[in-house]
Amino acid sequence: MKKITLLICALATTVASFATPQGTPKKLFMRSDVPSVTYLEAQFDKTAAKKQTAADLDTVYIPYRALGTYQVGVPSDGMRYGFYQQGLISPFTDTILFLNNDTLPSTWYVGGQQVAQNVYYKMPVEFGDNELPTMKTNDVEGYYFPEYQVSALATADWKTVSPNFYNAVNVGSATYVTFTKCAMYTEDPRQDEYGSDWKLVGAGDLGSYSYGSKLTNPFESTDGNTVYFDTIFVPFPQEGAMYIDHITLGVYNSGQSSADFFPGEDDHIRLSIYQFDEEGNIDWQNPIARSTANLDNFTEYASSYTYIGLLQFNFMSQDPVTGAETAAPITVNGSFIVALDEFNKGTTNIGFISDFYSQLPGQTYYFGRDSETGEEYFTTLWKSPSNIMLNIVGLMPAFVAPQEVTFEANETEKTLEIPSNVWDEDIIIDADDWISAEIVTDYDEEVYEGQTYYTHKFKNFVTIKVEPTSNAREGAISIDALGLPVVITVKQEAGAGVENTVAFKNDNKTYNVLGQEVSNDYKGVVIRNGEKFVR
Amino acid sequence: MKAKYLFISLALVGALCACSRDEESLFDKSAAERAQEALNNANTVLAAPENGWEMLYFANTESRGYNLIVKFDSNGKVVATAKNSLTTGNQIMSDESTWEVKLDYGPILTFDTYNKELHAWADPQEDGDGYLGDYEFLILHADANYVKLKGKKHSAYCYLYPMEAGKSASDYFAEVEAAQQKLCANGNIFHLGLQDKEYLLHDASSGLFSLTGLGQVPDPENALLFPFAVRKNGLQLSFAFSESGDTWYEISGDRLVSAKSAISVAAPATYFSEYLTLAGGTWTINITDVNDATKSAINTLNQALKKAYTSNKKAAVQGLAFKQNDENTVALIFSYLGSSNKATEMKYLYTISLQGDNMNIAYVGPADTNAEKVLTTFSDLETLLKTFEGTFASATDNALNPTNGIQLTESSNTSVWFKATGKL
Repeated sequence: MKKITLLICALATTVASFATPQGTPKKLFMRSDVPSVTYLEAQFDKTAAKKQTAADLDTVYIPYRALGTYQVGVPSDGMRYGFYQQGLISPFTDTILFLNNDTLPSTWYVGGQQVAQNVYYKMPVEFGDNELPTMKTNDVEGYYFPEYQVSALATADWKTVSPNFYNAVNVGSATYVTFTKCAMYTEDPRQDEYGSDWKLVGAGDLGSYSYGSKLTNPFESTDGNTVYFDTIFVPFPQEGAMYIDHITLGVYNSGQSSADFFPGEDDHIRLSIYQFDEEGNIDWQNPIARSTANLDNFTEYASSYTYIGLLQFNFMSQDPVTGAETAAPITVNGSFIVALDEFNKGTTNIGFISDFYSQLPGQTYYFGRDSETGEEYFTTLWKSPSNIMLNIVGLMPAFVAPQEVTFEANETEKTLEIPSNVWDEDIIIDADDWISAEIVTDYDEEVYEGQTYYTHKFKNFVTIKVEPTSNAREGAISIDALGLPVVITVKQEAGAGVENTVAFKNDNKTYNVLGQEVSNDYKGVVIRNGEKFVR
Repeated sequence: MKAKYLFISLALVGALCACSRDEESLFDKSAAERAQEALNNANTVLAAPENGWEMLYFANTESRGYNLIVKFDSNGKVVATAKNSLTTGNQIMSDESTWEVKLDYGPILTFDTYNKELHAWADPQEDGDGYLGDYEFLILHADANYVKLKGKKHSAYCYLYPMEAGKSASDYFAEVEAAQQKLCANGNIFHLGLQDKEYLLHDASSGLFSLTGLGQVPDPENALLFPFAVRKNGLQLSFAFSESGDTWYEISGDRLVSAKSAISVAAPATYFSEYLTLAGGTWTINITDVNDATKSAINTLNQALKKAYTSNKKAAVQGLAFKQNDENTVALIFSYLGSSNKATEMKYLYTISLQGDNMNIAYVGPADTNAEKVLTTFSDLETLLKTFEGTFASATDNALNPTNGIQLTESSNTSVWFKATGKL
């Protein structure tokens, strides 16, 4: 009973905080606009062991799967604090400095040494009521080693900062993600499909919870009716790509158990991912991925809180050989929108909390329907739910390879050093018959004060071998790095790789071993009519 | 009336005299003298070991124990060295500060200036609590062989043993880690014999034993917890399992023994099953060191996979592991690389039943339609799956922790065997 009361208090507090309209962002958010970048770079300059440069900021490759997984936990504060990241943040932290966007401090360790404390990072004012990004550290001696791993970050400390979805996004935003394609809607973007006459509601007209029975929901619309959500659109503006293993959604119902989420046999929630094309348009008929979740995909928060928990949306892939369907990550390249719909219209509510600290930078769009009048509502006034978590296993660009490699005469093997965040085991290489290519992941180590650290210089080494040829030719290596295709053109010059067996015409002319025609007074190994001899 | 008062007065005098005589017979020195002696003794004992003390630090009564090295000198300096995940990020780190034994309601060991490796446990941190540890301790016992402390604020018992002369911190922590692997790795499960009853001790990896009666279903929310720390030759509990029990269990062959009870693991076949059902662990089959029939089946299947998935040169069997599926069945998780380089996992079900010291493993079939599709496509898979059928005897060279390696051998055909390691 006490726990329930506490929870309701916490929820009420959160809801009260929603009363302040956040408004629409004044402008799209570009990374270059962020004062914090300069500020952060200044912090990097403090680095005694190795100076971090602005250039390094832009060449960070975070090995995917380095972001850990999110799990249900931290029972004290319901949904908002219902999730924390367990395990490593990244073994190659670099510029991923401020994974904590909350106001609670965290303690950072590098190689076992506490290097910073009270590091936190708030989002710019455009995206909430927060201040511009600030950073505080206790590094009184000026030591901060962003290039070293933070694998020693204690889980206990991490829990206290209640990281949630945004931690992952901050990883991206601190590296390369900019917010450039965040579309704004004033009406249902799927007009063609629905043709609805949506009513824009003001702040306070809708509560913080989505839909369900007016009997039990204390956060219903102010006219006393429950607003059923039809669809929630959550934009994820970004550049580059994400490799998403699955998506989890923190949910709450006002019933007493997990069964109240989906009282009907076929009840579920559907999640679709829509991708912006290059012009910023979306094909609403063709999501790039779609998944449904029901009680089978629900993990309760705790045995005493079965009405709070996580819904996991997996993306299924069908094996071309066996036909078996298995969960497989998807690659989302560029900005995208997550849409939630097909909600259960049962008797209890499902809550989606958004709050001031953990919201996404973009606006979320809610389309709903009054349970009594049937009137349709539209609002952007709520912030993006903090409880939609992309379980990102990789941030890309993942594989920065040269477009072309040329083999000169006598060259049969080259090794390319390619900055990447993709482990070799997840890269599929295909090449023309006369080319072979193998890939190995490696990373640098550096020694500082007697300790060896892995650095962020995460790379793939691609070793390309070609068969000798007497004629110039061109081929290609196709690399599938987590679904992002990369093609390297391989050019081989005539005579490349041919030493003693270069084939030449029986034309009574004299050639050197490189296949170049030489004069009769040329000294050295020559080939004439296919015979090799020394002059 | 007067006579009665007189009698009572005499009786009181007599009683007081009696008390006085008793006290004199117990202590030959005053309380102040005895306290000073205890203080002097503690000072002498603590500063005596040339290489300091091995300290088994329990922050509070609900936290696992951690290993520290504390070296006191007679000038009031102390060097503490630690290596753990919470306060040092698993690096060996040392700090120097000062110490004192002072008198309060007994001798109190206090680390009276800040020492990162000691006070980190008592710092309140951001949540106001931190690790709820102490830096001031009542000295309950101190002699050259061992010191017992009790946290002044959080009441956890801590233990100090003299460090071996000449042993470096890195060697010490390496020994402790080796012992942790030997005794506690992979969520090892122990049996405790105590006062004619048998109990299960779960969660050895956590440093906090959860005690459950044998045959009872573990209840994590209501478990009795017993914090312990590992030494190279045994386990040190913070407090005993029973009121009159011991806190030190020393490795002795295939058991850990104290004066009054013993800790051991179940017979291998039982352990194999217990680890699946009670610990929720996984037995991973070593597919590179396996009997010829299984090896041959894997090779045949690898060829089929490579033929089917021509675009992926790495297509092959990746692993086989047993994990409890439901109350009645165990799943063999078959993982392979097919169309992508991310392993695909399929479950095939078995029943495992104990027959004396042996266990019978019987194949049931695919766990779902996906597993069935894979089995239909790769018929050689069934040959592989059936190599795990039979009645198996179990044996292990890791008597105190079979998760570090167990071997199952078919009773009627010893050429059929496989090796497995446990993992939570």
